[in-house]
Amino acid sequence: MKRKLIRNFCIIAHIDHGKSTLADRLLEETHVINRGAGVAQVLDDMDLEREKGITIKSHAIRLEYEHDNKTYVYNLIDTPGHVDFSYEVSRSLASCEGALLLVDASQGIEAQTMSNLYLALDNNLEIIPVINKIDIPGADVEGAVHEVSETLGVHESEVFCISAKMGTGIDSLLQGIAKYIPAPDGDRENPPQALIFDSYYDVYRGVVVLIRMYEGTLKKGDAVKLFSTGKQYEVEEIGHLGLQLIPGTSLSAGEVGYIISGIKDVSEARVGDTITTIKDGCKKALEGFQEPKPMVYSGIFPLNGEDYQDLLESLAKLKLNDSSIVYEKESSMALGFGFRCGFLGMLHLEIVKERLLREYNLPIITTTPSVTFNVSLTDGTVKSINNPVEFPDPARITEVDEPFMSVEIMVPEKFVGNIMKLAMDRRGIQKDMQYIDEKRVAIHYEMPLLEIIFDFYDRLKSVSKGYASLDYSFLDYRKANIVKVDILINGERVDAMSFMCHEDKAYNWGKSVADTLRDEIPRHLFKIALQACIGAKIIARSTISAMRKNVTAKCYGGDITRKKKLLEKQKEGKKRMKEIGSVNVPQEAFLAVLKTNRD
Amino acid sequence: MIYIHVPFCIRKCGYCSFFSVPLDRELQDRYVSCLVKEIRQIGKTLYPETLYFGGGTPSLLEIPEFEKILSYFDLSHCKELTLEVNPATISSDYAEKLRILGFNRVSIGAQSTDAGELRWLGRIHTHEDTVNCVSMLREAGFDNISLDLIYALPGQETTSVLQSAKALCQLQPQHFSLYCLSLEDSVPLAGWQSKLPDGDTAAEMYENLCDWLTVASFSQYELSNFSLPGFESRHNSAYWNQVPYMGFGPSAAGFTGERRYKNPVSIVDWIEMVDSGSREWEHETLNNREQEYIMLRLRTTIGISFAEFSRRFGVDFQQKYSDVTAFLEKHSMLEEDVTHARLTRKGRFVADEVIQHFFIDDER
Repeated sequence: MKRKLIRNFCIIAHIDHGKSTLADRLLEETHVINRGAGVAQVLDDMDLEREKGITIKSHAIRLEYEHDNKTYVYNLIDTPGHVDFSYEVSRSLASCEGALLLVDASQGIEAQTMSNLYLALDNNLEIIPVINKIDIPGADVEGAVHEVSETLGVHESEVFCISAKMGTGIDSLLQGIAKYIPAPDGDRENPPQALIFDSYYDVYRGVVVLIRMYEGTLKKGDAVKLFSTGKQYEVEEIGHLGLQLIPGTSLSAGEVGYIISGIKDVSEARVGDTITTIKDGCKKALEGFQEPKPMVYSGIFPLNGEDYQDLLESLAKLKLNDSSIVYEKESSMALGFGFRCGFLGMLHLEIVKERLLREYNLPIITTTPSVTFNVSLTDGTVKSINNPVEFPDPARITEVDEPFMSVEIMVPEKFVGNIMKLAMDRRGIQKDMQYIDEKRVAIHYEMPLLEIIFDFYDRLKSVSKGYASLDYSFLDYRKANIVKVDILINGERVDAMSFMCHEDKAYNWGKSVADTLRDEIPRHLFKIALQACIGAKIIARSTISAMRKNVTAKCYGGDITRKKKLLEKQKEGKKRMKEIGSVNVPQEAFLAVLKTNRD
Repeated sequence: MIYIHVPFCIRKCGYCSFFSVPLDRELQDRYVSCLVKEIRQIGKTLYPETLYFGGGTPSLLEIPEFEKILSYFDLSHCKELTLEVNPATISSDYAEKLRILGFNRVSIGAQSTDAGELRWLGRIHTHEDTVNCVSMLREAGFDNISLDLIYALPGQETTSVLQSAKALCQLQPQHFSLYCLSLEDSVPLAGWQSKLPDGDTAAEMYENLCDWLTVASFSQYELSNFSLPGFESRHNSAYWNQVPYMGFGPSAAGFTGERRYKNPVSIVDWIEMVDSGSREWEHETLNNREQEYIMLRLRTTIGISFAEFSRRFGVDFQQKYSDVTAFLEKHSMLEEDVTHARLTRKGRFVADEVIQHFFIDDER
C-alpha cells in the first residue's frame, strides 16, 4: 500500500443534509455496491438509525478509486450526527486528514455542523465544501455557496455543487478528494501507534476494534497493549473495512482498518485509546483520550416487575456495544427493582429506551432525568448526587453546584426574540451574538445542563419553526438554588416521581405534575389528594374527586356472565397499575409525569 | 324459571344491544317451530315458577303462537308469567287474550315521555301509545304493570328525566325499571358515546330519580328496579339469587347451578344447534360462582345473607372478606348488620367498582 495514495476523510453534515445518501453514492461510483441494489444508506446499519435518520454509531469503509492511472484508497469514516456524541465525533475526525463539509442547499450551515467544522479545523483537517441537494425546488445554491465560502474563507469556485440523490457532481468530487486532501503522514518503520476511533461487539467474533494507524505497522500475531488500561492482547485478525471485514496480514502508518484480539467487552476498547505493540512499542499515547462521561441520569424500571432479570441481561448486552452506558441497581418503592443509568445525553437515553423495547421487547418506565449535582454538606464533605432519592435533607446542605454548558444556537434573525425569551426562561446567560451572514445569527449562551435536558431542543425547534440548531459542551459547575420536590399521592410519597430543580421552578413544575396526575389517575371510590412538597412544605396541590359512576344498569340472565367478565377485565387492568397507598396509578401516569411541562 | 327470547323487532332501536332481527313472517314461523323443538328436547314437562318472554319485541308474536309455545309447559305452579311489550304493538283484543292465556305481568318499554327523546332513541311509539297501552292492559285485567325508563341521554337535563318519571307515574304502574343509558361499540348510536352526560351528572339523575320514586311510595329492591310492596319481579329476583334457570331461543342463556350455556346469537345458528341436538356447556368453578353470587346479591337492597352465603359456599363471608369490607365501610360504600352486608346508597351507582374488590383469586 502506497501511503501517498491513501485519503482518509469524513463527512461533516447536519441531520438530513444527505450524508448517508452521499456515502451510498460514493460507494456506488467506486463499485463497492451496485446502484439501486442495496437498501439505501448502507452505513447506518441499525434500524433505529435509519428510522430516526441519524447516525448513532460511526462506521468506516474503504473504497478504491481509479484516477490518472493510479488506484487511490479512500477510507470514508462516518461520524455520529448528534450533540450527545461529540467526543466520538472528535475521535473520528482525529483519524482523518480531510473532511467533506456537506451543506443542504436549502438550509445552509447549522450550529452543529459549525461546531463539528471547528473540531475538524482544530484537528488540521483539509475541508472540502460541498453543497448538496442542488436539484430540489427551493434550493438556494448561490446563497449556500456564498455562505460556505464566507465561512471557510475560500473562493466560491472551490465549492463543489452536487446532488447525492441524483448522482450529479459525484465524479468531480471524487477527483477533488484525491487532489485536495493530503495523504497521511507517518512511517511504517516507526514503533506502532494506532488510534481506536470506534469499536463494536459482534456476537460471533467478540469486539471488533476500528483503528487508524499513525505510525509503524501492526501484524497478525503481534502482542499488543492498550495505553489506558495496560491490558495485553494478541492480534488474532487484522484487515480492512469493506462492506464486510476483509482480513489481511498487516496495517501500516496511514491506513484504516480493524483488529480482533479477544477483547470481550467494548468498554475495554475505548474510543480514543492508543494501541501499540508490547515489544518495541511507542512511548506515548495519542492525545485527546477521555473516559466516557455520562451527563444525564435516569432510573430505568421494567414495566412488568417480572422482567427485571431480562432487563439486567439486556442492559449488559447493550453495554457490549455501547460502552458509554453506565448503570447500577436501584430499587423504588413505587416501581420495584430497576437500574440507575447514566447516558451521554437525552438522545442517548431515548436510543437506549427504544432499543430495549425493539431489540429486547422490554417495555420500561424511566424516571425524571437528572444531571449530577455537587452537594456540599455541613460536615465539610461534597457528594455527587444524580438521584433525587439520595438528595440530602436541606438542613445538612451548605451549597449545591450544578453543571453549566456552553451553548451555541444558530438561527435566522427573525427568531432571535423567541430564542432569547426561551433561553432566559431556561436560566441562560447570553455571552455574545454574531451575524453569520445578513440573515442568520449565532448566539452563545451559558446555561445549566438541567435546563437543556428537559425538551429544550424541542422547544427551540418549535419557537423557530424548526430553523434553529443547537450545540453545547460542558463548561463548569456553578452554585445554584437546587431543591428536591416530592410528589405525594394521598399522603404517600412516590419516590419515582421526585425530582430536583431550581427553586424558582419548583412551584410551576410541582403544580404541573399534580395536574398531570389528576388527569392520568382514574377516579377511585374516595377522594385523592395530589401534592408537591419541598421537605414538609406543600407547594402545590390538586384533587381527584371520588368516582360517582361505575355501574351496569341491566343485569339479568344472559347478561350475568358477560358482566362478570367485564368486571374481571377491569380488575385485571387495575392489577397492571402500581398500587400506591390504596391508589392504583396507571403506568401512563408515570410516563405523563415525564412529559410534564416544566416552564 | 324459564326465559324465552323473541328476536323480532319492527325496527331496531339505536341504543339496543340485545339480539333482534327485522320482523319476517316466514322466519317467525321457523322460529316458533324451532323454539318448540328446543323446549321438547328437555325430554320432560317443565313446570316453571316464573316464565318470562323477553326480546326483541315479544308482543309481535301472535296469540296462537303463544298458545302453541305455552302448551309445552305445565303452568300450574307458575306464579309470574311476564311479557315485554312495545306500547305501539298491542290492541285491546290482544291484551284480553294475553290475560286469558295466563299472562299476569307486563313490562312496557316506555323509556321516556318526551317526543324528541323517543325519536332519538329510535322508538316506534309515542307517549300517547304508552298511555293507551297501559289503559288497554288495565281494562284487560292486568294489575301488575312495569314501566321502563331510560335516563342520562346526551344533553338531557335532570328536570326532563323527572318529568318523564312523573308522567309515567301518573299511569299508576306497580313497578319501575330505571336504566342508565349506555351505548356499546356495536350499536348504531355508538357515535354518541362521548356525548353522554358525565358520571357526576348521571349519578345526580339517578339519585334524584331514587328520591322521587321513594316519595311516590315505590321501594327500591335492586340497583335499577323499584316496586310497590309485593310487586317485585319474581323472575328477575331469582337471577339475583343465583337460582337455576333455562333460556330458550337465540342468544338465551341458561344456568343449572354448576354449568351454564348460551345459545348462538343468530337465528340460523340457533336452529342448526337445535337440529343437531347438542349444546355447549361451560362449567363454573366454585370460586367463580361465589364471586358471581356476591356480584348479584350486592345489586339487591337486601344484600348478602351471611347464613345463606355460608350454606352455599361453605365459607364465612365476614371472615374471608374482612379486609375488603373494612375498606369499603371506611369509604361508606358498604354497610353490615348482624345478618347481612349490602351496598349503601352511595355505593350503588359505583357498584361495579365496589364488586371488583371482592374478586380475590383462590384455588377453588
